Amino acid sequence: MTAIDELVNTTKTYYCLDCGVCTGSCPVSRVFPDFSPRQIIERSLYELEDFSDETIWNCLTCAQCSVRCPADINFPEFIRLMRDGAHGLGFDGMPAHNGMLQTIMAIQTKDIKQNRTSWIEDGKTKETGDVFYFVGCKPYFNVIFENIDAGSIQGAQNVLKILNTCGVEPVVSNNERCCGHDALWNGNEDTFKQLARLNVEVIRASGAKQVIFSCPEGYHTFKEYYPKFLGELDFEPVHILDFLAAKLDEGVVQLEESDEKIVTYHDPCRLGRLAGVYDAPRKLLEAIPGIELKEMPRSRENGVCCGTSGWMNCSSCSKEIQMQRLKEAKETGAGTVVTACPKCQIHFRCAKQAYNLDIEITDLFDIVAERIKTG
Amino acid sequence: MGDCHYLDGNVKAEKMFQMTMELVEILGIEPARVRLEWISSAEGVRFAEVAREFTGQVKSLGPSTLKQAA
Repeated sequence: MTAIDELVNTTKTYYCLDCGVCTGSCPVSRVFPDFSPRQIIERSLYELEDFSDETIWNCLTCAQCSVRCPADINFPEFIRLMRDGAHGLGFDGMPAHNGMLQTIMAIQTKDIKQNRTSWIEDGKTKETGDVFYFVGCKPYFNVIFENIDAGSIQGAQNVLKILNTCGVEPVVSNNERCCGHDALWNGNEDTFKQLARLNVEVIRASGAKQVIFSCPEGYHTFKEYYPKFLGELDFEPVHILDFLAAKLDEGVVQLEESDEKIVTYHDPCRLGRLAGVYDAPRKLLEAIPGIELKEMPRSRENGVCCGTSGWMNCSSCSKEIQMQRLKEAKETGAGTVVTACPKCQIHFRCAKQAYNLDIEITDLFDIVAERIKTG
Repeated sequence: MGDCHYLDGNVKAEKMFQMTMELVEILGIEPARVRLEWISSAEGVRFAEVAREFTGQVKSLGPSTLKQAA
């Protein structure tokens, strides 16, 4: 049996009905017809596929195909395993930003002493405690994407402000590493495992029982893939949306009225299709007095991806996807696209700047932080 | 600045260098391992001097912890 046959067996890709819903649904295929999930699967089934196939790196792993697949084939997972095999043979995707992000991930597997908490300023944090705030890559993004005003660090400061207002002083650690999401989806399981092991050590040492995420990638990676590779975790990954919903219900915090605003919500693929969180962000937006939510035609499980993933294969096709998405947002009559993912934010702000589009792009937690007060 | 064979190449290089320094700082790598110097292709002697001096500086810092797995 070849390595690809094994992949077909582990992911049960042989259930494929050859219906083509995957390719018909794929945001990449629409702008780059050489990429076809259906053909990748067919070639794999007939032993015509090879790890050198360059198109496997174009997949956004956004799961638009797999939520619609009548045979329930997990195409993103199939692609992840294909990439892992390909990476082992020396094939890789085309890293975006000259591979800078991949280098930063690799450096974080080493014995380094990071200075990644200088953004905290007057926020309240602790060295050890029950709650750990997993900041993610924001300190790095803030430097790398300064030219597109990515606002990454402001996002971290706002999440800390929300936690503090809710009466929580979380642990924020200089020893936190990249969660490994991108290494995993770049086919680099070794780097992923090293990063994951280091993060688990840091969280264990902090004594935390709960780890709070505002980044969907970190949340999904800790929830799905950490247990898969490292066994059961002795802490609970919690998305800040769930944490916040509980605090609002208990009346610990309230959301104040502010300027009236019509917004639309862009579902990040890791939070929506992969983690199944669709209602919570909408409930939160609707709970803010003065905010009116208008849905885009492609929303919830049909929400289109922001165009790039894993800092890889960013191309004119990515820009096309982003531009179409921002146009779609504008057509709802909303002046602001709200996202809940630091990367969606970066990708859209990049497109906005490149095409000089007239639309605001804001993080959900920035909106909440502006309006939150103790109840 | 701007006096560059590659037009605005040195302006871009300086920006890239500043970003690198900020990343180096967050990653906890000694800033003395990174340096920006403006040397024209006609300044061979100066290039050799700077390279020699910088190599000495990096050597005196000893091996980087980046060589060790965490």
